[in-house]
Amino acid sequence: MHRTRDGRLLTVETRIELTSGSRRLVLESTRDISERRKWEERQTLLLNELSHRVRNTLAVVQSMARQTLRSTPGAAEFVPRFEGRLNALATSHKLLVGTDWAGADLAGLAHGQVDAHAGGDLNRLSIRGAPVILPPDLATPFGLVLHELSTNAAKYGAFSTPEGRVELSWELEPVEGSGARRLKAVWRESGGPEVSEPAATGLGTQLIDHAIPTAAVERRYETEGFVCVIDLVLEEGDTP
Amino acid sequence: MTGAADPGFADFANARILIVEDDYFIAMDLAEDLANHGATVIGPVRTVEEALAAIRQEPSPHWVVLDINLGGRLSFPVADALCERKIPFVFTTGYDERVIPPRFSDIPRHQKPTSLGALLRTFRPRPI
Repeated sequence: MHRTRDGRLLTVETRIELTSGSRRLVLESTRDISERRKWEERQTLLLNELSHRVRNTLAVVQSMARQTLRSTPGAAEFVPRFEGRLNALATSHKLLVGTDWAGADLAGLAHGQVDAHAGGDLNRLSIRGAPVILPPDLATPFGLVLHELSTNAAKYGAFSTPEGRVELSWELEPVEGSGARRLKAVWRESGGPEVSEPAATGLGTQLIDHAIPTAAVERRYETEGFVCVIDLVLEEGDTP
Repeated sequence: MTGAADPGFADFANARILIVEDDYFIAMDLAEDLANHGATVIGPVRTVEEALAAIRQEPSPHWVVLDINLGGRLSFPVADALCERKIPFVFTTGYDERVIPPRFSDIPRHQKPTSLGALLRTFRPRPI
């Protein structure tokens, strides 16, 4: 360590060289490596952070595989279902990486999860709502729910016929007496086949109901089509 | 399971086990595994508040599996409440162990991804 005249403490690297020319000299050179040291510390911190995210993600993938297997009747069905969920996870992660893990924009998240299921025809899909950033712990399960809603629409609902449409919209309103905001998102299908409450709920429907830990979720099977309302509170400080 | 030699395992079938875990897949997977081994599962609960409420309810759990990160919040208030009530528990985490405060140094911990077998080896319930 080296203290400068103005009192700053620097991390320095010192080298002593012996030169042998016509006169023998000892050279001492001192370099300020504070920036490099800070950079190294930051790298260590990032690596630790990455390590815990990878471990968590591996744990989720492990359980996702087991749950998908338990709820799938045949082996042939397992791969597409598992891959779909894995892709949903990857799509959310990609958005989060883009913001240094600060959060994911809901519109971006929705397009990432739903667009592909609209069969490339964006007239069949409308996504609109006030700009809102979901914190990482919410973005991942929210993305998964949107994936399950899209998959169900492709199997049984509006995306299973050429005319069907999906409208996803949301509103944000302040929660009185706190800095929190209430997010109410509505997934509304129309123009598809007639729908009715399934006799038994599969894993997809269970995920829609429960994957977002703090959300109240309502499913309705209306004459026009399936409707899902996701209601949750974004705590103050949750979002940047 | 190798039950007879281990008094903990012998009691397993009568144990009430609370799961505190915010990820749906992990929580459901663990709940099914524990139920298949005969335990009575409480929860899974997903937030610090739900966990605190579940601990206060009677009959209280014999053992708790506690995830450290619950929706971006650390679950140490739950750990403190468990210590106060002398309810044994185990931490599960993807974090580096250094995030765990020294006051919990005696608490067993599992790095995610964990296996049921590894988890059950630390099963030391409050007497049933």
